[in-house]
Amino acid sequence: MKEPNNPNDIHNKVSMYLDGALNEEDQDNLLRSVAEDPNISRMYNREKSFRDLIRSNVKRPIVSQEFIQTIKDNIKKD
Amino acid sequence: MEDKPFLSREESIRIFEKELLPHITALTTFAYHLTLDEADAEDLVQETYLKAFKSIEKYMEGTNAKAWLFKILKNGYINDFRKRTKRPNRVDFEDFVNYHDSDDDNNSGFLDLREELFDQLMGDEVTRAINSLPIDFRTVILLCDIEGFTYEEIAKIIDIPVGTVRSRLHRGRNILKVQLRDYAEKQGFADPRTHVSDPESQDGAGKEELK
Repeated sequence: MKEPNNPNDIHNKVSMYLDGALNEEDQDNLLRSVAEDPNISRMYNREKSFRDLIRSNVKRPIVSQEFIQTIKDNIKKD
Repeated sequence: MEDKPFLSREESIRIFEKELLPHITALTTFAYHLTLDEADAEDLVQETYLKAFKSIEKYMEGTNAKAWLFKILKNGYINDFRKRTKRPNRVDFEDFVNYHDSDDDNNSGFLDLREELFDQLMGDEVTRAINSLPIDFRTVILLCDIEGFTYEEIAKIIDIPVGTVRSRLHRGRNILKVQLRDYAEKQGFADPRTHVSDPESQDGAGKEELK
């Protein structure tokens, strides 16, 4: 992989890495850059914090057992 | 998916309960953030499961049940549910994008949110910010960041190219960052790096025409 040196390219790589969309070679290169470069490390941490914040704070309605049973009953009588 | 040999009713119910029902929490979360109403979300999820059961012969056991269900739910929302509930199709989409272009271009800095207190303060605001996004951005963020689907899976679920998935994610996340940063600043959390050069602030990505 060509080493990204443009901040936009690096940010795109970070984003793709967190999305699980980088191939193994690009992952290795990115993680090496994160370990070696404080600016890239900070960019990585900020993006990861953002993703974690979204994932852990989004509202997830509680699914009741009654609701599940209603669905089971409905498909059985359908 | 290819059709399979006829399934007995018992076999259909077994597959339904073993492979489809376990995704009910994820489906309900997705439905809630589409409909913005818990009762509507339950209706949509119930309709999704009924449609899935009627089409269960098209489902190949052991394949990606979650993606299949999400596609049924998304189609149901667009084709039936939204029309019935008179939800707008595209909520001022272009206006919204244009309005946020300046934010996107100038400052998408995001606070380093590791303080537990701040994390708690952000709880409701995260949901409000996500729900305020136009549906096209909201959908990809929910599918990628909340449900962990790949770009390719998202492209299939919502019938758009992978490149469009990526550009919508990029733009949607930037809008979210701006909203949450603004909220954080109003709460008195200042980020010393807010005005530090940010790659996203110079970024031209995500500006292509969105479908």
